[in-house]
Amino acid sequence: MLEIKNLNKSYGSKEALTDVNLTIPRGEIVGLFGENGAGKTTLMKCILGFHRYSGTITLDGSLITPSNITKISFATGEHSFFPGLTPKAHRDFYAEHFPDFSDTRFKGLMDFFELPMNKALKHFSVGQKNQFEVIMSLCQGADYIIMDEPFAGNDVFNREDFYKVLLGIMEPNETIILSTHLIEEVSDFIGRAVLIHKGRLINDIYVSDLEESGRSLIDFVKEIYNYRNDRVSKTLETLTGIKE
Amino acid sequence: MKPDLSRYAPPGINIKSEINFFTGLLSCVSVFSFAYFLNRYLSCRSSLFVQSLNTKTVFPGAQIENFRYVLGTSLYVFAAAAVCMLFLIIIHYSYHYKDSRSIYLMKRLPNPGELHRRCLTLPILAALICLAAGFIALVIYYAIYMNFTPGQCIPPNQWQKIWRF
Repeated sequence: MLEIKNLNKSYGSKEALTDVNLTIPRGEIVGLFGENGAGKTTLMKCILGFHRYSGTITLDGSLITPSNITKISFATGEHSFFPGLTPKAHRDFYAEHFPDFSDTRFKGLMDFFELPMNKALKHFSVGQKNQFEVIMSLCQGADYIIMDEPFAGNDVFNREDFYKVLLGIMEPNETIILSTHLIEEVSDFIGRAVLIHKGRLINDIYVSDLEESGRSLIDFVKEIYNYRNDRVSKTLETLTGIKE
Repeated sequence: MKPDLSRYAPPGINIKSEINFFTGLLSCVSVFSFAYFLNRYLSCRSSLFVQSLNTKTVFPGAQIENFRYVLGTSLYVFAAAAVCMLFLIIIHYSYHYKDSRSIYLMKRLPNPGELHRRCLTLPILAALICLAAGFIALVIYYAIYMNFTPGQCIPPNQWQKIWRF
């Protein structure tokens, strides 16, 4: 279980995260949503220990240290692989450093996405780089897989394939925390939605509860963020003078 | 057996170009240093002799300058090369922010020293090799000074005088 208690993080005088409390048990697929600059990436980086923060973050009851960091993997749209290395060399590197690295999963996913094994990553397309980034996060052998906008740059078919594969290969003890703006697209894939706004966790709901109440995830998110449906028509009216 | 140096460098970095840079720099530094020393030594040495027709004879009572003086700044270039090698440390760390953020992966490794091991080892080793090359050059220059200068022209305690401040 990943437990975040009273997490605060600020950059100078700007508060990036304020009093965030969140518990994520194993086996869940959690969507992390929020506008740009809401604090999603900062939250993820705090979990990974990339940022200093106040509060506590524990993994299965222990603070996150080098002794349990291998339980968390990370896929980011910024990419975290070595551009000069081939996938094969990455496999060797991961196998050396992550004792639970799954070679079977690696080969399976590389085959599925038809990625070349002996070509340096810097020569991959953006979509292929994203695929590889996610593949490595899934093969590390981590129990908690954190993904920060991993599909930016991939076409819709590619993304759908990925969701399906992800759901198919996930083990019961694996947890995914996925930050994305593609809310509608992941609504069938995630089990829980966590909403962040201006550094504060403003809602945390299970998708099944939403379904029971007859609401879609995207409508719920719009409602929470006070999205004004007439926003576009009003702007167009102002700009063009034509009433819809 | 040839050591696999890539294990001591950031993964995927072009280690060949770094080795080429290192060997090139060290070669240039060595040649420059030797030429500089030789020029100074030959100049000091020539002042010991008097030329008469086809023969060269040593001035009576002539003494060559101290080795330390002859050495001049010929070894400074090795120190400068060592400092240059330390700049590779910056290149190694910044490599993890270039084209991707592999720093995120390095920081997630269970061995927290891996990042530093891969960024520091080769530059420090290269800097030490430069300093060692400087010391070897010192020994060679001293041997030249002692063996190619007429014995009666060498002031005493030259080796000790190098280290005297």
